[in-house]
Amino acid sequence: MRIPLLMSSLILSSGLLLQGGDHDCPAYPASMWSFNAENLEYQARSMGLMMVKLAASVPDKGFTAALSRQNFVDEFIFNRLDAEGVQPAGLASDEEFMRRITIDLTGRPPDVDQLISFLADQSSNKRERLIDSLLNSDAFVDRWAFWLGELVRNTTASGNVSLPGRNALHKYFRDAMQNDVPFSTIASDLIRASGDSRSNGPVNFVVRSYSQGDPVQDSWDDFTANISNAFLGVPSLCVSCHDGARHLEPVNTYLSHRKRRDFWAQSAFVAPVIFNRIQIDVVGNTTIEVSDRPAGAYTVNTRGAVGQRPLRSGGPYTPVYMWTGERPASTNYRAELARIMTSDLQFGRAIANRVWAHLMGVGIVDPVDGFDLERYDTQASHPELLNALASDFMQNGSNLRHLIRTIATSTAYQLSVHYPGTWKESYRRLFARKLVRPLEAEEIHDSVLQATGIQNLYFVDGIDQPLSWAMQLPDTNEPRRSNDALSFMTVFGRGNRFDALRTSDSSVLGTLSLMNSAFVTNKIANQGSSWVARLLQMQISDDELLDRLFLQTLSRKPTAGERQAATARRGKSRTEWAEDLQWALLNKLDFLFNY
Amino acid sequence: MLNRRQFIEFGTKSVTAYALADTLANFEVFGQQAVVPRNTAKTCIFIQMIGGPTHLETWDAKPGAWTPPDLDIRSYTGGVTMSNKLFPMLSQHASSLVLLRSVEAWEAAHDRAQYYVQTAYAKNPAFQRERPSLGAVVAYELGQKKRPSEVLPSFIGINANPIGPGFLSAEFAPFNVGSGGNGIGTLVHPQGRDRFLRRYSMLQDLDQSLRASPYDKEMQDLGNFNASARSLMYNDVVDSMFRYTTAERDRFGNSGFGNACIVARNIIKADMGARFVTIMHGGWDQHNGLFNLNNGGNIYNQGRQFDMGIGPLMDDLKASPAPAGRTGSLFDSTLIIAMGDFGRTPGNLNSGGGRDHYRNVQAVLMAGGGARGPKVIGQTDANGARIIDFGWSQQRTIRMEDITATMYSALGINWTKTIGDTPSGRRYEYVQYASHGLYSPVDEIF
Repeated sequence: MRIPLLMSSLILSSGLLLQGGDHDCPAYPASMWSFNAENLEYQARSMGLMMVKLAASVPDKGFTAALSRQNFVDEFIFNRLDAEGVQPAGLASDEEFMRRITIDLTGRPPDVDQLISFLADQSSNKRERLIDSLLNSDAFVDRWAFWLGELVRNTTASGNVSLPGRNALHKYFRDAMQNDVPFSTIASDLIRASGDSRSNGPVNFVVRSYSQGDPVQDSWDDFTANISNAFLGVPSLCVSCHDGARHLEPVNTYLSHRKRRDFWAQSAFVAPVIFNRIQIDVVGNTTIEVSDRPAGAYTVNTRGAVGQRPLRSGGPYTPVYMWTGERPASTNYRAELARIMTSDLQFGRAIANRVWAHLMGVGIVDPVDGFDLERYDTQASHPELLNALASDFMQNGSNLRHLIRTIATSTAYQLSVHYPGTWKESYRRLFARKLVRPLEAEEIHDSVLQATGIQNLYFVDGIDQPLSWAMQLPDTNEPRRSNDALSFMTVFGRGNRFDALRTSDSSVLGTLSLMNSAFVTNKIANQGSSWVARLLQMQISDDELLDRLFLQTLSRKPTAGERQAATARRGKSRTEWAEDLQWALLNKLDFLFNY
Repeated sequence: MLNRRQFIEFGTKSVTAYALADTLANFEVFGQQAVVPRNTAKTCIFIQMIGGPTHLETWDAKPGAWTPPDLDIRSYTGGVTMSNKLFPMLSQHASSLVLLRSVEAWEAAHDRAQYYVQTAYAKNPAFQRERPSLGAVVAYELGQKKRPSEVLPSFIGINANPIGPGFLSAEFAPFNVGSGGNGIGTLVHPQGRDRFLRRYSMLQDLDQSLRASPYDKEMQDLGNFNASARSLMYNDVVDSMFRYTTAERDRFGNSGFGNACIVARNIIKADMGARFVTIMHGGWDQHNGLFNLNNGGNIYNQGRQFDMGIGPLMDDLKASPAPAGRTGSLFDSTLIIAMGDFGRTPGNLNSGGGRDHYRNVQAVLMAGGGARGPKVIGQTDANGARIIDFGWSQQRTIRMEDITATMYSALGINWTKTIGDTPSGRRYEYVQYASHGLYSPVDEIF
């Protein structure tokens, strides 16, 4: 790193003196120092320099000395914290850790018996063993099959994907997660898929982009944009309509230098694709078949309908991988695209960044589909770390479990949410503490079920077995047959994976729903197999009952203040007290967050 | 690279991460012109006529070879014309109406057109996550400092699912309700009010320390939403807004739209914090059988349904006093806008006896809230096919951007503002290019 030398010239040229940087120097008040530090950081960043150390002479306070470094993730995160003189939080407690990792990996909090035995376990490597057991669980397969469905937006809402097709793609993802299929293989299967969309799962990723009635080039372009968005994290859709220049300068420097012709050359990789909609029965149901022409460059022949984009020109375009300039080695273009892309470091960066964002609260590059390849070093909060994660991932068979494990076993992932000191917004991108993440609609649904012990059974068309958890559902328009559950999740911003985007923002309607909807209140009563009912039948004290309710719902015991507050409200009826407590815990502020 | 920044003030207590300070969302302003918004209206009722109404039979009514004899198009002062058959009640308010007849739509497809009407921007997947709808902008600008009695959300959708707040943040999201008339389901607790109050106070006690020091801004927001939700529940005034008697329902025509007008009236009258109320009224996409009595969706039924909602709505607003600090009637402080996706094909009907999508000409109705009728702005030819007189100072067709600027001006919002920081780094202009004067309010309506 040639930084320190350039740094000093920067300091001098900008008139800021950071002599000694000594906090105790009376001639240099602390407030000035922190102002200069932030100002300096901003200036250096905007000049495209990566800050490893603020200045050669800033004393290394060694704030992270107390934390053990498990792997390279910790090296990067903690070295940076030391360099910037930022104190990290301490470690999360066992309760916090188990709740956090279980929600992140399975979409719901831990089963209370497993939680209790984890807390009682005295072995030193129990956190690592917990991570491994979660990675090998059925719930993990469910949740990450769902995650893949989100990534490619598998849904019947677009009209192109049929119900059987959606289910087939969902099954493909479940099988892939069950069998630990490399993510590069998954990406490749999706890009290269051919066949009947009703029966061939991956074909539905291709068919998603089909734009009936428009020139086929629009479908190719949408397909290309979907691929680059999902697997490279680059929002290339813009340059499918216009050159980047004079449009994208404030948004994405790399794309502002790209032209439509670059995009067309990229789209040429999928130009052999033919979409064929055929009727399959007398009622009028159709399916779409995808196949490749034996040879075909990207022609701009758009006779007939004008389509969704301005008229194209030039061509025919032969494929050029626009991110590196590589050309295909054969005319099997889609296969070549898959090969080139899954060998591209950006492929590793994109998925590593998405998984990082899921586990750590915000991506190293944010938003996760907004990579600016020309400004990577300043856009990414930890560019070298992301490169390392990407390489490590790709060298280890592009294995999702390996990637998740690498991040989850780091100490950086296990920091507490409580920060000892004054928190500043700038610490957020340094990951100085655990960042809070609002739960998604399906996680809220599953958490309510886990907390109350009531299992619903949802019957989804085309899937033989009834499903219990929202994370098992094939898309976000299910369970269609259970209106209570469906409207409960819709209110929490599920989106439809098509034109209604997912949001985790809380809302007044969501709050009202959690307080008053039958979906929730039916589960807290002393009846049936609810946890409240079961606990009330046990011979346990009030304190134990209270503890159990807290452990089931919030994965921890009550604080002294909470215990006092709850006990003070213990009226004459134990039943009513238990029911009220269960309700209150589901509506408690920390229930809806992963921390 | 601009990161998303909101200027949030936090206490510097050493132990806590955040303090529950009085935080307002406050995006950095990157530019605005020194314009003077008219500030004539406190609220806006925005009626979206889904499907795109025929302009020749609605707000640009003129007879031609295609007009059935019973349509009874009458002329009023100021150039206002209206079918008395379709809109008898609205016709009674002819002197209050401002009809914009030189409007041109950008889009000819429903989805894109409706997006444009809700956001004043073209639908673009690249921006979709970030772009707020007009109601969210109004909520952001006007709805932040609420008095304790103002428990209603600022942006309300009735029989609507409007586009959300984009990058502005969740507190400006639309509060969507149906017009069912039995109150809102989740505003009451299934186990009854007493039980709810007991549970809620237990919740307050348990959450005390988290409310004092939430882990993050989102948790803090949730705490505020809990309080908002609570204040909406078992509030007789709020509850009564979403209920109506059979008699009232019949007076408004006993339709979904009519019911929505009742609820809108109640919300506006209550003056409890709502600033932008949007209603979606479907059924205007009349490609066939416009005048066909065998067609249930014909213009007679459609117009009548609309009329029986908006007529009494205007009656009641005019009969109510203005909110505190404003003069005139409640109608004078409420800007009503009724418009659809686009216009419909002019002149003779198509082969199916209807009209198809027509981008070139559209007509928009405005009333109240500073819109000073009777007035007609712009004029089309005898067939309603071409705009022959623009009718306003800019001497060009009126676009959705201009209508948006007009609405913002009426509400006292500077329409030339540009704010950041969006997650993508782009700046958000309230009205595109307004700071360069390319689009502006149609001041002639005032």
